Amino acid sequence: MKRNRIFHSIVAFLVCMGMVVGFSTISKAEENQTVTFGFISPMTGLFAGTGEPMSKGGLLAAKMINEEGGILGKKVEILVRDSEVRPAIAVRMARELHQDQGVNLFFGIISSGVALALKPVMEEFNSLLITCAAHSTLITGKQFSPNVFRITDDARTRNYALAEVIHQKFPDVKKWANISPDYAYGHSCWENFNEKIKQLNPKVEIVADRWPKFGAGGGYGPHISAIMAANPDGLYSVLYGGDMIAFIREAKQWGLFKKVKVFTSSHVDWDIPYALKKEMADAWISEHYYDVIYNYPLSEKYEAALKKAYGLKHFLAGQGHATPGFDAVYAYKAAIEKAKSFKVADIRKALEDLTIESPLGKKWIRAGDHQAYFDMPFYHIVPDPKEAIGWKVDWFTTKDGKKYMVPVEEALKR
Amino acid sequence: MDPGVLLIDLLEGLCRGMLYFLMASGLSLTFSVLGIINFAHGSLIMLGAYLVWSSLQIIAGDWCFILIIILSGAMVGGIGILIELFFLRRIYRAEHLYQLLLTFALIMIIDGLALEIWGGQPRSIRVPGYFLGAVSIAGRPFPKYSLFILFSSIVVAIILWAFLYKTKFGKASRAAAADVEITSALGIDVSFIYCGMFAIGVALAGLSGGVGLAMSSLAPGVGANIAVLCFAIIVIGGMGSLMGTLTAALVLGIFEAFGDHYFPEAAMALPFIIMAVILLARPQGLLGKME
Repeated sequence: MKRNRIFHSIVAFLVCMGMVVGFSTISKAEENQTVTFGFISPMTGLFAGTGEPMSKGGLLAAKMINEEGGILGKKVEILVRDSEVRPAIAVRMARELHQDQGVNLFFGIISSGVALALKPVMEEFNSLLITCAAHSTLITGKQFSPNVFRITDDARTRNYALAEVIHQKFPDVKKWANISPDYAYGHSCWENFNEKIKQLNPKVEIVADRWPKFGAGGGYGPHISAIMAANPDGLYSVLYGGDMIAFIREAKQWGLFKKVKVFTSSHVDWDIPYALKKEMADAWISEHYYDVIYNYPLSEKYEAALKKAYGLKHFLAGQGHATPGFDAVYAYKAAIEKAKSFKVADIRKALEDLTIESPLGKKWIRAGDHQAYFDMPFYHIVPDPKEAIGWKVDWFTTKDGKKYMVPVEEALKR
Repeated sequence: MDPGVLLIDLLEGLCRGMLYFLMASGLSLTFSVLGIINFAHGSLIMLGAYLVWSSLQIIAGDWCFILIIILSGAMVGGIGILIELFFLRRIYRAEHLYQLLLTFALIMIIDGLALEIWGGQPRSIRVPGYFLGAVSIAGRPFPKYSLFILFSSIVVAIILWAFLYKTKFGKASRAAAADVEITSALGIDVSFIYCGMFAIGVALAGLSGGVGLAMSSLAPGVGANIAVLCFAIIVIGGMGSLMGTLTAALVLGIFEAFGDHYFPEAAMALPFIIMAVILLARPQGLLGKME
């Protein structure tokens, strides 16, 4: 009787172990059928208008890739995490994705501060990060990491091009004021715009230089008052998300835009004019994507798919940040297929000097600094009460990013 | 220095200070009467602003703007009554840790609901045409809406003072704040006073959200920063002192406005420097009483 009980116990134990092994084998088999990317960006708060569309671009790319048969036969899966634009939370999310979910390939990130915080984490985990909207030159410059790539433009390229556009349109504007967020991205953008505009017009002087707290979301009155007291002709700002929305609303109340000849920004996303509607200011700006400009076959396919998946309203306001999210997933796909491997070292090597097809045309990732170069959109938004939305685009162009590249050695020093 | 610019900065500081008072006064009231540290105060301010935003999506026209702000404040006050009846009432005699946990849970619930209902995208409250633009003061423009914030906050402060010092309920609530047992022994229904004062404190939060966040970007979670500011103000002013809250709010608002303009590099640290200096000189706060 006792022997029987022992026998039954052993059998039960073996059955349980068999089930555990069996299920884990099935699980591994399922795992092997999937390649998982980790997406980290703000999904809530003042900057959700930037992070949320970016996630949708990535998810759309995954859907399209899966419909086309996946990557080397594997389905793409994207795990989305909310960073709240806080470096500590983004690092925690990256650790969770890597340690609990086995993720080695990351993308997203709208803040340069967050991207720089993730750099040592990527190196520690031997993982890769493709940043989609963190623009500081430090990321692919002085703080270069072999584990970090950037699929969007850097602050130098975009601001050199913007300064050229503004100088052509407003050659007489000499007195400039700046109001930008006080962290790596804001300083990087302004330094490059300032450098180029002074190079183009040595008579340019900076009459006001304001650095409000990032994420303030309002309370810009004293800064606006200081700018108005300095009487600038031109106003530059790379505040973004909820900060830019609040700034434009407040500056309109103060009458700031009536005092300056030009208001420009290298990074005003579509979520801002669509949120502001009739309160939008006259602005010479740049963004990640503008559907009217690009007419490649992939542009048409991408736009149709994005509209179908998320609706016209979301497409119009979110197309800008959706595009680098979309491109990052396709860049990983192209690199994996080029390397014919899912190993991080092979994917990293394949990403270097890679050219991908994007809705913006071809995007080339330079090997030396991991920076992408492509045709960037620039346009002029003008308030128009006749339009239902309260504004219209009355001019646009593109600028070839390669024209504004600096040599790799110089880029890595800055 | 241009005196016109200085005047504008002073006005901006007063406007900011009075808004800070409006935001922090409810917190100060609930602490002085109920002894409750309501960590969810910032989330209730945010809720008031969201209610204004939603109402303005439904009701067209500029005429109702002020009415909607008042009604939204009242609605948040109504939510405050439910919070007091179902949750707070059970923990008045418990340790402060329970208050902290409960009000922290309320932050999670309110912010989570805001995310579900209004989404994560930033929202902008539609400000009526008559508040748009600026008026000229000493030859310099000053936003009309900032003047509205200033005057509406002054009006609320006067009403609040009259309510606390001239009405029977206000006097009873001050008595309850001073000594709850004697107040109760005198036959005053302290539970009713607690519920009413919490509702008023929360209604002030809702009202300040509608008034103060109309020019800012509105998104789930914005209440957290505001709550920190409100706590700093009631600590600087002296815990439980409404006059102290007003003084601290004005000091902070004016220092911030001049700091942002003339010492922008130090602007972020300024509120904390002020707090440190005042608390070193007067640990009980500007108008607080030493226990």
